[in-house]
Amino acid sequence: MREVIKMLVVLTMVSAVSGLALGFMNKITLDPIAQAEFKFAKEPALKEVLPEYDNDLVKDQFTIKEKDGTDVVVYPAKQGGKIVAVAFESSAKGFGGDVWIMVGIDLEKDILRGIGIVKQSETPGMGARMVEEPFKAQFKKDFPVSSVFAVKADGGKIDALSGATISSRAVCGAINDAFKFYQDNSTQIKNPQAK
Amino acid sequence: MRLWNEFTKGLWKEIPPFRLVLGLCPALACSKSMFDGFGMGLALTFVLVCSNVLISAIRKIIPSKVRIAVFIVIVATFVIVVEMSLKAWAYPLTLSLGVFIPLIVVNCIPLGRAEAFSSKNGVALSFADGLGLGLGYTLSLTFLGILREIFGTGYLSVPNIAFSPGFNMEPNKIAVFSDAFLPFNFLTMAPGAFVCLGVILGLMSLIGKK
Repeated sequence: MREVIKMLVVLTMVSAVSGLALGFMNKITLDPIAQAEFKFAKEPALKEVLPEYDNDLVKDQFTIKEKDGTDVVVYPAKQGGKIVAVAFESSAKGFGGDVWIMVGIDLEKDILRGIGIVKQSETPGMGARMVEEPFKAQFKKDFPVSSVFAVKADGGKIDALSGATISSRAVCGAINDAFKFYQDNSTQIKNPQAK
Repeated sequence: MRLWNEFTKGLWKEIPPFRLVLGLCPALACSKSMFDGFGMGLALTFVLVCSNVLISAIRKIIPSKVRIAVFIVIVATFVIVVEMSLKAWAYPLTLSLGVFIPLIVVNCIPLGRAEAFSSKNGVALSFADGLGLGLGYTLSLTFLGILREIFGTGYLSVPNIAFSPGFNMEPNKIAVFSDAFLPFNFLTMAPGAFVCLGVILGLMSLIGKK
C-alpha cells in the first residue's frame, strides 16, 4: 500500500511540475512565436500582394467575423493614412491538406492584385509548384472582384498545374471564397472604424 | 578523471549514430544541410543534458515501477520547451526540421540514457554523459549534413551569426564549388542519406578494427 501511494505521489508531482513549467514557457513564447510566424510565413506573402505601404500592418490589422463564426484577419495597406489595398487569408481543401493563400485586393478599382501562398502541403514537384511564378502570375491580370475563377478543365480560364488539378482547383476555390467575403463585407473593410 | 571519460566516450567510442547506431531517424531526415544537422544536434543535446541531470537528481525518489512513466514525462517536458523556444527564436529551423523536433521524445537516446545511465549515477557524471553524447550527436549530424549538402547542392548553409539570434533567420548559403560543378542531387534525397550513413558506418568500423 505504501508503495502504491509513493508511486502516485511521485508521478503526480512530476507531472504537476512539468505542467507548471510548460504553462510558464507557453506564456513567455506566445508573443515571439506569433511574431516569428508573421515574419516568416505571412510577411513575404503580404509583400507580394500589397502595393507600397507606409503603415505597420500588424498594428493596423483588424478582424471581421464571417457568417460561420470564424475570424478573418484583414491587413490594410495605407498610403498617407488612406487605405489603398487590403490583404487577407483564405483557405480551401487541397490534395495534401488545407491550402492557405493570401489575397490582395485594390480598394479603389476593386480588382485582385495578386495571390501569395502562405501554407501548403501539396505533393512536391506537382501541386507544390503553385508557389512558383508562372502559376501565380495568372492571377495578376487585374481581375474584378466579381469574377469567378475555375481551371480550364472546369470551363474556366486558369491553366492548372500539370498533374495537380485538385491543387489548382483549391487555389481557385480559395480566391472565389475570398471574393465573396470581400463583397459581403466591403463596407466594413473600406471603413474599419465604423463598426 | 571518470568525469572526463564519461564526457569523451560520447565523442568517439560511443558516438551515437555511428557507433551505438541510435537516433538514426533524425540522423537521416535532418542532415540535408549543415544548418539542419547542427540545429537538430543542439536541440537533442539540450534535451539530453537537462533530462539526464534532472533524472539523476531525483533518481532516489522515483519508484522503480513507474520509472519509465516518470522518464517520459520529464523528457517530453524538455522536448516541448525546445519546440516552443525554436518556434519563438529560430523559426527557420522549425520549418526545416518539422516533426522531428517533437519526435525527440521517442528518440531512443534520451530515454536510453535515462534508463542505462542517469538513473544509476550521480548528477555530475550524468551531466558529463549527456553533454558528451549530445555533442557527439551534433558533430555526427553536422558532418553528415556538410557531406550531403556540399556534394548534393554545391552550397553550404551557415547559420547567420552576424546578428545576435543567429538562428532566427534563413542561413547564409555559401557556394563551395565553381559554377561548373554539377550537384549530385541524389545525396539530398532519402536514399542518399542511407548511402552516406552506410559509407561512414563502414569506415568507422574499418578504423575501429585496427
